[in-house]
This record gives sequence, structure tokens and C-alpha cells, in this order.
Amino acid sequence: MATVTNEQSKAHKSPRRAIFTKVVFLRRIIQAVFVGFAIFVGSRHLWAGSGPTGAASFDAYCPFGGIETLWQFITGGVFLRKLNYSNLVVLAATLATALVMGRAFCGWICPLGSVQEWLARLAQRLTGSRKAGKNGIPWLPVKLPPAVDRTLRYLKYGVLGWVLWSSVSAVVPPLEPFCPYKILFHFELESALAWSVFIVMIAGSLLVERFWCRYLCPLGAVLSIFNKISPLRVHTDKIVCTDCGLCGSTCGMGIEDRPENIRSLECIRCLDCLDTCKRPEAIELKLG
Amino acid sequence: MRIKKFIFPLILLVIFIGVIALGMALGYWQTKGGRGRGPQSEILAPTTVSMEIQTISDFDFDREQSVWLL
Repeated sequence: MATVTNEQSKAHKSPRRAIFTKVVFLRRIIQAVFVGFAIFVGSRHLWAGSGPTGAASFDAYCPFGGIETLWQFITGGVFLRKLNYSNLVVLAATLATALVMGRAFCGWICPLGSVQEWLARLAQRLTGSRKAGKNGIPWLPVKLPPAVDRTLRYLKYGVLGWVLWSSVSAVVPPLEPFCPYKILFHFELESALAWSVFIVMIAGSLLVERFWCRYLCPLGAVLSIFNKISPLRVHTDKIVCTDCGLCGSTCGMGIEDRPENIRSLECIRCLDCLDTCKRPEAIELKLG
Repeated sequence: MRIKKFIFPLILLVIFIGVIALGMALGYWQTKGGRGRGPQSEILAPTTVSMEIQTISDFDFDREQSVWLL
């Protein structure tokens, strides 16, 4: 009787079963839970209304709200409109995760990031192998020329600077009217501005994966700094790595030369590179 | 030190939810009441259009003759 080797048994493993060996499966579940929570908070506020008897504002759960109100809280002990201590608590939780594992919040918890990622996957499926002609490469989401992509990524630091500057003399959170997170989960598309942001957000996410995270997210700009100091990070063994480029081509944040840029400010610790690498020992998670 | 990839989300959730739970336990989880507490809110807080119209109307209404002067 012929014996089945490990390689043969791996080859016969069904794709449905193989998904359970990938961390992306766990990530999708966690993302879905936080998206569900955001929908719950947004819809509860819609049903119960605002005011003393109503539900808490959606803004009260935003970690970036903590950054927006931080200056006025430190200098005067007061909060911007709709914000409260809960924002500081969520901000502290987000910064605590960033201290240990960099921008992991963006890759695993942020509901806006998750929705963008799912929209990009949808675009990929809709324009995938069956519709893309001979080569089978999906034409969406697109990859911008590296020079343009690199330049646009600095925009988020500009947005952060503008918000911090405005928050010094603000009454309402400066980003609130334009915040796609609130517009997407608050279900109140009452103004032309809200509709514009909504359409740009959906279209942008279909065109470029994690468009907001890459180019505009001010919270991502804050958390990116922690990528340089966080002890828990993805490590590449350059002796084992064959430089095949597979991890870079599947990176949701479009980080080029993944093995070289393992401490990139853009890495959201989604661990997709660990899942896609054909030589698992080449990319590992390391502490310290 | 090598960390297994399935441990990563566990550490993340423990830290994130743990800090929020700590904040709640210390009584800092307040989600309501921040409205209008900015230092300049009394000066700069926007008023609704109807409030502005009401203010103008008060000036232009002759109470003795009960007629609008506009």
C-alpha cells in the first residue's frame, strides 16, 4: 500500500479546510465583530435619538475624537462637543496596542479599514479572472505609480496637522463634518457634503485598496509612528527569503519590497504576508 | 522571541479590551454630556436660523399696537 507523504497530503487539502490554517480567517471574524458593533452604535443612536434620554453619540466611541479633544482637555479640562471621557479611554486602548504591535488597530479593529478592505475584495472579484481577459489579473483595485503613491501617503500627516491646529480653538471636532467613519456608520446622509464624502469613500475604496488608510487617515498617521518602536513585529529572514515578491504583491497597503520594508510606517500588521509566503520560516512574528 | 501568528490577535484583543475595561472600572467611561462644554462655546457656538429670526422679530414687533413694523 502506497504511503501518503506530507506534501501529498498538503496538496490534497481542500481550500475550504486550508483557510482555517490562515490567520486571515480569524482577522475576518474580528473585523466583522467590530463592524457589527459600529453598525449597532450608529443605528442605536438613530433609533433612540440624542439628548439626555437618548443614546450616546457615535462620536463618543471614536479614538481619534480623543486626539481632537486632547488639547482642550489638557489645557482647560473640557471636551469638544459630542466628545467625552470615553474617547480618551478608547484612545488609550488604541495607543496601548500601538505601543506593543504598531498599527495593528488599523488592520484588525478599525471598522472603516475593514469596510474598505471588503470593498477592494469586491472590486477584485467583479473584475477578476473571468472578466479580465487572457492574463486573468483583476484591473481593480488599481496600483498607482510608485512616485504618486509615495507622495499621496504624506497627505495624512497634513490632515493630522490641520486637525491638531484646528482643535486648539475648535468647539466641535474639526474632522466631524468630513469624517467617513461617522458618515458610513451613522446612516445620516442629510447634507451634500456627507453624500460627497460617502461617494468618494466608496469609489476610492473600490479603486485603491484602503484608500483612506493609505492617504488620508489622521489616526493612521499617529499610529504609524509606533511601527518604528513597537517590539512585536514581522521579521524577515533574508537568508531563507527568496525575494519572490509574493508578499509585496498581495499587501493590502501596497508596501513594495516587503522584506526590505518590514518596519514600514504603512504596515498595518494584517499578517497577510505570513499567510501568503510559500516559505513560512522566511517571515515570522517576533517580539523584541 | 518567536510568536505564533494565532497568538497575535489574542494579544491585541486582550490589550485593547483590557484597557477599555480598566477605564470602565475606574469610572471614566462617560459617553454623554460633553456637548457644548468647549471653552469658547458660549461665544462661538452656532445658533440655528430660527433662533436668529426670533431675535430679529423681537426687535421689530410693536407690542403696544400689536403690529409688525417690517
